[in-house]
Amino acid sequence: MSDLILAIPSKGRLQEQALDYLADAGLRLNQSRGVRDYTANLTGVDGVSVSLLSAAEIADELISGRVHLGITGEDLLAEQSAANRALVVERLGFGRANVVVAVPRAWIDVSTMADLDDVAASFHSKHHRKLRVATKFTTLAREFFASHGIADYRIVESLGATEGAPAAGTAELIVDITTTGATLTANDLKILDDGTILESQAALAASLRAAWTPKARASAQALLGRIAARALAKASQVVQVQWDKSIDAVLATLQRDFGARLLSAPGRSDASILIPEKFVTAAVLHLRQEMPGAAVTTQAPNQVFTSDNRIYQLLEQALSPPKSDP
Amino acid sequence: MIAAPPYDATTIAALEEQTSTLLSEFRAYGAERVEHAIVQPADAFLDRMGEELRRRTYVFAGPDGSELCLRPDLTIPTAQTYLARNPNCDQALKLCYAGPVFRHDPAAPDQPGQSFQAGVESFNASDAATADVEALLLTHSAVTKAGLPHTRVTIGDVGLFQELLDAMSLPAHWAAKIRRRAWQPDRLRELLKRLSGPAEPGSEFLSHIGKLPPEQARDVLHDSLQLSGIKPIGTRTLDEITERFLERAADAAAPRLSPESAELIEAFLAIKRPASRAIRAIQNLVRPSSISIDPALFALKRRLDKLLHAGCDTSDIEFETQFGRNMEYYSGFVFELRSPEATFPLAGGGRYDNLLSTLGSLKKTPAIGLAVFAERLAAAKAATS
Repeated sequence: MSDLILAIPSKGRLQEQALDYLADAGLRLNQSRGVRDYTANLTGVDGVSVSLLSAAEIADELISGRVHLGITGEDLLAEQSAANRALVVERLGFGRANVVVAVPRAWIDVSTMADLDDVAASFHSKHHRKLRVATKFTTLAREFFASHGIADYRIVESLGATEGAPAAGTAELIVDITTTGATLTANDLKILDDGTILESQAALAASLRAAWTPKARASAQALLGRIAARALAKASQVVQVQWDKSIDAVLATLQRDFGARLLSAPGRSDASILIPEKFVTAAVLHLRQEMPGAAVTTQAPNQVFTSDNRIYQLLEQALSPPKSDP
Repeated sequence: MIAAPPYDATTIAALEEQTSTLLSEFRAYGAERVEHAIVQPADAFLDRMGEELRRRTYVFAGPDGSELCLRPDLTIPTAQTYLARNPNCDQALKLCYAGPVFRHDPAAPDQPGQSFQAGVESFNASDAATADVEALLLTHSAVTKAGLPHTRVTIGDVGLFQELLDAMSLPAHWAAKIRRRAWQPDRLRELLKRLSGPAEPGSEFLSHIGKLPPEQARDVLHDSLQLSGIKPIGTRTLDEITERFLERAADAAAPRLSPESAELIEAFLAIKRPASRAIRAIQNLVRPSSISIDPALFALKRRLDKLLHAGCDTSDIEFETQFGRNMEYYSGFVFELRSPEATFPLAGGGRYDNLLSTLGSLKKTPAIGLAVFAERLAAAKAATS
């Protein structure tokens, strides 16, 4: 019996990218009973079982607490108002898409939400019914329209092919998710200038309602430790320095200005320093300037394990004290 | 009778007694008791209440796929009963009801989303001012009989602001925009600033279109859409798009809203004082500008006089121009009662002269309603005893 359940998309591009992401952190899926099976183990950490579900199911399961961790879209979590029930611990950088407000391109008089507010009112008085917005993102749409002070509209729930609703005459405009906007254009729709509701991407999220037993926490700590180690490694380089004097003085500047972390023991003349990728060039220039004659090499680390485990800390802060094992 | 959250026998008995007191007051006023289905077709509600209220409404699909809801309001079903009974809308009729309404509270998702209401709707009364005053007095006497004699009363008049905007002879679409934002002070201020600031420099295309007569403007827009290969999809017509284009062009060339007018609107919406001094305050505010809203003020004065005549001390009633019972269908006199301690209203009501037309009546049918919120009233009584 596993202590921690991790949910992963069961199909498509999102699954491929999620598996690549995990594999990159040294975590591999072991589907012992063949690829058609919807459960698996994870090699690389103990006590984790994997459930393969659709992205929408993963959001539901996180919110209800039936899985501990899951990879799904931020749009799905936001739509379920998941804020108090699930916590995004890491944004994964793939599966990018925006939830947007789109209107017919023929509405050349409409380019902003303020325009839409005017149109909603005059549409209501001319057609004797409210402007209809087709969407499956009812929560996000309502919050966004309310934040723009628009009340005179009605949502029509749409379960598929939302972009066809205006042409079909079942709604006047839509709120939908789009990656490139090509589908919208093909349907003679355009995104409003200030109509981006959410910039979404795939995320690793933790349920705040799951049974977070000490064993589940231990497994999560190990799993998230691997992910944090890989994420930190990808965002950093290890800079190695050898000099004939102590480098402590220079190090202080590096820590202050470039977010450097000393990996080796302090007070020596050779050191391994972890530096964020974006500061590496500036940091190396600084080292060369301050330490003439020093040997400086850089290399990309594979994993960087630190004692703080940034991602697990996020989770632990959000959780109440551990529930005891039954 | 009260199907409600888990109440104990004492609470149920108290609520039932309170309800029967309220209903006997309503019957004594001449209102006939009606009962509505708990499950209602969703359309009538969703088309008349904002989407904000929809998120609080329990909407679901019936076995045959029709869109249903648990009734979030009892005014609309009561108005439908009146229409069904009197399709010509030529008789005066008072109807009363008592029963649960269902609203989800997103801030308290675990609380039962239902509460108990008792109320009266009066249709087609011969004199609106009398009906308005009677509704307020009836609410007050029913709440008193039910055991809470001391309440604070707030009144307002949704129509008054409309009169002011009309009297200022603003372009119609400006007035409409201002009215939509009247309940959102920040948005209103931002809008007034925009209307009184420098004109937004429309594009060259816009100013070109703006100089054309509507027919020709429409043709130009039609041609330019065709040239750019844009299909005119959807239900909003080219005429509507043209009209709004012309409106924007006219805006770009129009004189701006004067700072005095912007100030007048803001100052008007800030008025909040004892009803006995409200009319004087509004007159003082409006006098320096050369506009007159005397007919509307006179209508308000008639109501206040009637209240005085009925023995109400109008210096104890608070008048607020902002107070609009932010429900979409209210159109005139509005009121609510609070207990001295409570932050929420225990009862309220208002005039809704346009609702019946939207429900299918062929002529404008004046109506006013009131509702008492049973659990809140019971809680307020418990708090004061």
